[in-house]
Amino acid sequence: MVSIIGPSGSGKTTLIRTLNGLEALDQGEVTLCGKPFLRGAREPGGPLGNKVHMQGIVQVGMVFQGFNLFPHKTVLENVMLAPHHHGHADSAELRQLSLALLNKVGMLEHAGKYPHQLSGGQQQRVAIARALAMRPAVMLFDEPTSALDPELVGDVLAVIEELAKEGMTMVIVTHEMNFAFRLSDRVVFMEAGRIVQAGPPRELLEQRSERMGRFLKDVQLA
Amino acid sequence: MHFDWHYALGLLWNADFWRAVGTVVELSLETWLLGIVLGFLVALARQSSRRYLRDAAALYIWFFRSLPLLVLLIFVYNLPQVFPGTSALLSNPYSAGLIAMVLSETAYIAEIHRGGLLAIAKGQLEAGKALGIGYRGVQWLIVIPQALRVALPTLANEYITIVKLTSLVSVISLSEILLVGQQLYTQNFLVMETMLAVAFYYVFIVTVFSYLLRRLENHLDVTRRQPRPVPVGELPAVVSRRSGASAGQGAFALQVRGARKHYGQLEVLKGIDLDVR
Repeated sequence: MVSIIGPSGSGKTTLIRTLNGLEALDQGEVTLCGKPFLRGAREPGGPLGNKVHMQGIVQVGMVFQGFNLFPHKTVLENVMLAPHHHGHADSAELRQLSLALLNKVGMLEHAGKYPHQLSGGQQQRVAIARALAMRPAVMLFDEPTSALDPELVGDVLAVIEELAKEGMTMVIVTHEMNFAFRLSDRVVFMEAGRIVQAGPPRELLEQRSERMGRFLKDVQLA
Repeated sequence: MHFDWHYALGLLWNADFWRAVGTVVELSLETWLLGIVLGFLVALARQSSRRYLRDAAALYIWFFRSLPLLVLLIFVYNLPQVFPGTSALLSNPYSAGLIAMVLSETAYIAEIHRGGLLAIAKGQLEAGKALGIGYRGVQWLIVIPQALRVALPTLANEYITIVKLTSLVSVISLSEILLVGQQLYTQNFLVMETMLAVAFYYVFIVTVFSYLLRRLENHLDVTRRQPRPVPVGELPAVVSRRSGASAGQGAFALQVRGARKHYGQLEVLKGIDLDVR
């Protein structure tokens, strides 16, 4: 698990959105499991085609700050929608897989509800199950708890923590410093569009730069 | 004043009128449904990233909204005078009327759909894209159901407009409600009595369909839906996939090299390298 931290406007969200192509890169490239996935528009040869993008994007799950559940579908239908569209398995099998994922995020009893009948934290857990239903190789989290009130943050973080312990590859943009430093393999500190410092949490804290010290000064790290 | 109530009431059982009601319902429903489908395509073209599609859609909407329906009706109906090949289709007042009305309504309904499409949050499209669903899938599964729900009150309103516009098709001799009435009063000169019956039939159609469309609206309103219990059964175990297994030991799941990005003048990413195992 890699956490990306840094002040607002430092490019964290833009970076994570370029990792699955929601924002197009100008320059540079992204490889996914060793295969070319995305390439900047100004690179020689231009961006890779839509086909390469579509083949790769199913391997990358994304969880948004604003949940973005489909309001006209039930919780279960939200989770089943994408694997069903891609024809991963027959409906009965997908239904059981989706219910199992909802169970994993603690939302099984709400499977028949619509998103507007759920709290923010519950919606975000459904969004995590929806992304997991595609069996992604990598999960991206774009400030998954920033739109939640503090009481609900814990439930969502607990789900992410469980995934981290299972060894799921994850990139998470977050303002939850305790969470980031406790669970990440690597923490990346960004400012003004650059990576200022990166490394394992303990190392990073010991060698923190003056700028990062200022960023973390009000945070009580457990 | 003389008003023949007996005659006016008798017209409510007139078989010609009820046949005309059937014609009006059929013509208006077909216009409405075809207009909704074609209008959606025009609305999508209007938002397309391809310039020629955008321009073509804008041109279509501009032209057919500017043209009075009456003019279009007469024009379409008389087209066989110039192109005799079209006479098989267009000499029939029903099909000529349907074509003219669909041409005109598609332009209006395209603008209604545009309103519905604008109401869909951008995040919905992004969520679909992030799940690897292509353009058509996103439209069909995510955008259309939501946009239609948003546009439905306005579309229902447009249906009522269409019902009343069908009276114009009388000028090309389709025996709809108004023409049946006119044929009656040119024989017996009971204009007021006949037109009262004509008015009744239009009000009747609009009342029935307003009620049905309101029912449809409520049916599609997810905020009114009650959660249903979902039978669970036996659940399989799910463990996250480790990407290391598919990429081989020591490989990176995700690797970024020299990522740069500008928004206009502002450089938001200034060369990022990132490896995620």
